[in-house]
Amino acid sequence: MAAKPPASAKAPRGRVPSGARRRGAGRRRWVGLAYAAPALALFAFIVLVPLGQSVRYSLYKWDGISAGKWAGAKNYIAFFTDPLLRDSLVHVLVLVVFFALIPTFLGLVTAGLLGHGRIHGAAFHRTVIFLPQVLAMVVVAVVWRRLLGPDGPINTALKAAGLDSLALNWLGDFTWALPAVGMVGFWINLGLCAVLYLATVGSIPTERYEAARVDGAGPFRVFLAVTVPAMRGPTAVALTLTITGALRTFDLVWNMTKGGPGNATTTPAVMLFRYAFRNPQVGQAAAIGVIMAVFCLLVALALVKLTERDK
Amino acid sequence: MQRSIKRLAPIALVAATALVLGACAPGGSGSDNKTTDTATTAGTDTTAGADTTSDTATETGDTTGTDTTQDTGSQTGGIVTDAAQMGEVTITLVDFWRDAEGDWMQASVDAFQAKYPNIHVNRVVQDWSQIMDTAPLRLVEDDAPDVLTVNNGWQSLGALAKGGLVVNLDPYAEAYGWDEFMPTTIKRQVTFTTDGKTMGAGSLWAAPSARVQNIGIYYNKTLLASLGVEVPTTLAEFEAVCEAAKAAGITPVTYGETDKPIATLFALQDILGDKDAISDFIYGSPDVKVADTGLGEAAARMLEWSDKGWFTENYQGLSSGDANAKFLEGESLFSFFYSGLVPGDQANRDEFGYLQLTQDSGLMVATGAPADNLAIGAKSQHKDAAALLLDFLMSEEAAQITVDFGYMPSLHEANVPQDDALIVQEVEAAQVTEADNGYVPYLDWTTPTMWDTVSTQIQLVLARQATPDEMVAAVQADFDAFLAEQAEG
Repeated sequence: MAAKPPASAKAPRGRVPSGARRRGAGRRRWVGLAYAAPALALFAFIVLVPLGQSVRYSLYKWDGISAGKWAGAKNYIAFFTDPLLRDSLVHVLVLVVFFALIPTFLGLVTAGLLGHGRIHGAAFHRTVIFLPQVLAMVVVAVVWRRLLGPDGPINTALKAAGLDSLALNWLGDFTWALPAVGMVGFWINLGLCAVLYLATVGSIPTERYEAARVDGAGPFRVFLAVTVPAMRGPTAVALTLTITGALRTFDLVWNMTKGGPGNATTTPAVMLFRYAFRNPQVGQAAAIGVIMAVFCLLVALALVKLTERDK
Repeated sequence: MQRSIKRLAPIALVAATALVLGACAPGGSGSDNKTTDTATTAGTDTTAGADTTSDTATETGDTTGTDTTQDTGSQTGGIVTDAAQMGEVTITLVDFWRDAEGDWMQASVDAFQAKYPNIHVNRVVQDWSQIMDTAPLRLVEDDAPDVLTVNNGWQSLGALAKGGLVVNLDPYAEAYGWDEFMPTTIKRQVTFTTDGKTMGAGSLWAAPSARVQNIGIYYNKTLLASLGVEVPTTLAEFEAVCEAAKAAGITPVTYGETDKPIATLFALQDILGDKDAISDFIYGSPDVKVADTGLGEAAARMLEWSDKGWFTENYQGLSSGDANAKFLEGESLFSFFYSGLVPGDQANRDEFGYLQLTQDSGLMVATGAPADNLAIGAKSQHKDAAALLLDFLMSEEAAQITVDFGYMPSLHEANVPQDDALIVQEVEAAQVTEADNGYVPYLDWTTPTMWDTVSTQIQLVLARQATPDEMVAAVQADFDAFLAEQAEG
């Protein structure tokens, strides 16, 4: 037994005859799988099984209590034909702009400004910008509901500045409720994006900045020529996190507007909650969940592909 | 390409396995549950003498099986109403009463325990919406609550009864004689046919507590006195007072809408609509159109009030809670609200009065229902003890506790404390409503989605995103879709 230790244990990391490598790799894979098996089983149990169940439910018309009835693709078709659900999809796309695109862009600019550590108190600014990330979403929602209230500080400030016509019922206005919720999302995500970019800026060798400056580039040119090209990776991460976060938006909307006024701020996740718990149509809720999961997956895949190709 | 397929193969395999594992028809696990349920009942019930009764109840009244909805009304015999035969048991009660109202419920439960020392009540208090949203999930668990508060209508009790998650109370009603004191209008609110197709007829699935809650109008006595007017009794008088208040710089009507409230709309519908039409529509009569129930007229009236600036300023950005906080601080004259909820902390009761307006015909119609309805979980192992609690919460004693805490009693006469002007006014209004047979149920019970539909539509009307006629059409469409679904089965 002891005469022949397992090939995998002894296999050197360097060059080995190709045959040996293939055999070793094969066995190593199974050993590796065996090691990973408990984790995989747990993953399957808590992620894949519910996922499978959701897919299954989504094909039924089911109130969550009595026996379900086969519905085929009806729930999926409803997602794209029901005016309420379609509206919610439009709303969430607007939120993507506020939650993902604007913070990513401004995060990049912030990193450009704070990155070199030449601004006085950069660490302080960094902390302040990141702070919203640390707060629980419900707390954020409650605070902003107060801030945006008819007699809230924002309207008080606007009135004090003589801009009475701009002092709106932010969360009660059919036009402005969605952008108002979007602004809060922007406020939350800016910190995440900025910190991701700042971490990357810090890792760019100073020589490159010096070289650019020696070549006569101004601060803006330095930003475009040195900082921006290094940002592909963090951009992919920032966009993946913020876009999928935006697509899943529930807590912020639920605690700020409940999807109102009317249905002006509904998101698919809000509709999912309504269908799953309020008006028991679990099949429809599951279909919404599956569709949004697929969307998130596609976004993530597209971003990975984009950044991989450029490398 | 080939490599990536190879890499994806195991993932696909796992995904397929997961699908198979998850592939159990939704709601189809009922038969499994039933066997385990009976087994645990026999195994865990340690109370001497209670074994047999509890078992029989489980067998005959077992409605946990999601596919056994067709016949759950045939439970007979095996019921114990004598507390002494129940042994030492603990039952769990899940309810939503907090603060001042929590004191009332606790006092009722304490009185129950004092009367039946061998039955312990473990009271669990949670938010209303939390209980409503999770009821179907927690009632299938093995440690499901014995008694819990449910909402009327298709969204809550209807779904639970249809799915067999709560116990059919007909045998208990018979054993205890609940019909002797329970008015038919009240009883109808918690009845559904056992096939789960009709509301307002069939078996009893929940029991009310001895406290009724009407949608009425609270007013600020000081502000009303400052206008030098009488307490209004009709809508015309009410609007005249609002006119005068507005002219005097007082906000006439408390309103905040971000949480999508429906009290003001329903109260106006009760004044403008036909009470039989409202009831018939809510109980699913296909012969009545929502256009006949006064809903459109009520919405139009609210729009008119909004245009006249009678509502709390910036109501679009306030919740009803925000607006009522202003009302309690004396910033507005009237507030349409559920009786007992204003004033919340009970400290300033003297400052407010209560009124209900009559229709042009002179009838007093009000949306009213018991403050809560209690159902017994189908998985309860102490159904008899649970039923005893329900019986007590409907008793004369419970009605007296209700009024002693300043709330409107129901089901029995109670001695109203005459030094509390507010409760005297509230009870008087309730008595007139009762005498006029004027109680109508809540419109949102009509279908599982009706609350969303109505509460959203009234926001649209007030924002001029929809007309009252469009609102009526949307409500009718919701109703028709549900009726078609019910017919389909």
